[in-house]
Amino acid sequence: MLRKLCAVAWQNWTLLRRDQIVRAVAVAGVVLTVLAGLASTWSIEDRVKILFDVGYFGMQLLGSLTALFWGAKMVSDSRHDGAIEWQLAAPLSRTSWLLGKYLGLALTQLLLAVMLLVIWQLGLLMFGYGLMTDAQVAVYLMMVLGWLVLSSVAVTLAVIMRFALALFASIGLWLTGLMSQAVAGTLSPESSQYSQELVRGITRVWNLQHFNLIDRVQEQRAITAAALSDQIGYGVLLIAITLTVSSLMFSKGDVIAS
Amino acid sequence: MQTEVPSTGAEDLALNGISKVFRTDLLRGPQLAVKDLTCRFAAGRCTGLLGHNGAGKTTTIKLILGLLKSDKGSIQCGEREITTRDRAKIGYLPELNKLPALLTPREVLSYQLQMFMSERFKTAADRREAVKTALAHVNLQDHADKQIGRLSKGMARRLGWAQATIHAPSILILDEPASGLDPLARRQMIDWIGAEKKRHTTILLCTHELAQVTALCDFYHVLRRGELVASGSLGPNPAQSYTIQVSGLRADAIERFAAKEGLPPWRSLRQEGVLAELSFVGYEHSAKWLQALLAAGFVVTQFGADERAFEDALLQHYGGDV
Repeated sequence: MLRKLCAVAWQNWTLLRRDQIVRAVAVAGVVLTVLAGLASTWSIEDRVKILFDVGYFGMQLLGSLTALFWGAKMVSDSRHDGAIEWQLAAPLSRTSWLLGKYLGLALTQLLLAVMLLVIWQLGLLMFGYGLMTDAQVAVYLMMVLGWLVLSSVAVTLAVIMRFALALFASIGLWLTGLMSQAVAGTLSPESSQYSQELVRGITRVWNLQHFNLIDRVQEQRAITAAALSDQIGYGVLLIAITLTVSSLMFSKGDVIAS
Repeated sequence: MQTEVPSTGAEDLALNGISKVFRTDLLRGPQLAVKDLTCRFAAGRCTGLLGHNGAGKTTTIKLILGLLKSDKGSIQCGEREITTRDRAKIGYLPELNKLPALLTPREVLSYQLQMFMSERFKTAADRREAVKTALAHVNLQDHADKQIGRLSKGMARRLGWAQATIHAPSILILDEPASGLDPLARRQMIDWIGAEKKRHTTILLCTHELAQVTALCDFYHVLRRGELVASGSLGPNPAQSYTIQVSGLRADAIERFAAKEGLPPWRSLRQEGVLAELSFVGYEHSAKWLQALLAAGFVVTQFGADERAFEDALLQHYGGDV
């Protein structure tokens, strides 16, 4: 079973690597790095803060949108072009197919992450900021974990929805995850008990700010191993839950529409 | 017209009371695709699955492959209900090319070996030789590393055949295998199916082309609006029509010749210029006529089973949905 799962993962990784998006992301990464570098050079003070604000925000946006798009597209495209029929006519369980596809997607996202990291580091050297610190690398890796979580959510939605719907729903969830903590923090005490409980509940379960450590770096607070392991555990748990749900839904009913 | 289909082994496919209703269209409501379908695809034989567009043929195939889940009934492979593991015995050629456009033929076939024969072809080196042989068989060795999206339709179909048969399946499901092919490629496809038949593969041939059915199939099932309306055998049929086309004999001369030789009656006689076409019910009568005509030195320009009669009989089952 593991061998078959790896074959599906390898095939998806091959397909995604050949997708034009990879080239588009590379170009966008270069443009973003240059823009961040130029913005920091033109500023009078807080040059490093501006560099990282622009750079990390851009990378976050780029990686997250790619994760959502690929996640929603992966299942939908296979259904649309019929490749799913060819692949599931084999002695392969639907769960293995879905997990293999996700694994391939995760590998390609890691490839993108390494590619963007290299571009970013080259940009830092070019603008005279030297090598990234360990803390900055940790921030970046945590951001990549956020991308993996987002793609697993998009895959889950694509199992039950059409592409466009799955994409919009995942973007909605992404924004909810980014804002939940801020909304909970600014909630008026006069709000109804029900609203407060609901917002706090959402924040406890779905809070993408867990993967954003940039403030810690900028405030020069230490990033401890314990804190990191908590964030990683939260991310892995979210991925495990979403993939379990999507596998269960995918195993029931028809793989393809009439 | 129900006929008992004999079995030759354990690898037959049997559908027992399968029903499928699609409930995906809220506006149109439930759509019945297959209703109480019970039929068998005999081991080692080629069985045609026929019917008009939308009769439920492709849905039946997808139910067998587990891509769709039936609302009722069961599917058996041999003696037991079909499982995911049983799909290792099945080769599937879909109607349209459904292989990812960004992959190459080499990658597709290597993947197929990993899926179907992972125990035998464990390493990439093991698979390389088998893939090379399969590509050479379908004459794609020079296009092994070209992306599928850049292959011609004929090439993609040949690759489809290679992926369906690379693991030497004992059951082959072919959905319109010759669709969209030029005459040469079509003949090649029919030859390949014939070779699989000689290998005693159980073949389910879903097609609109009745000539393919008569050339390849031992049995057939006809679906209409999701229901089985006819099944039958394409072996020797005592009621089969045969025709003899003879040159230089007029109708009156034929009657005199029959009386003189004491030949059995014909079913119909058609005169077209110097050619007379005699039609008979059953092989025995036609054979006696052929022998007598040849012995008397007449030129017989054509002799054989009348396929049109079979086609006409089949088309009756299509109803008004052709």
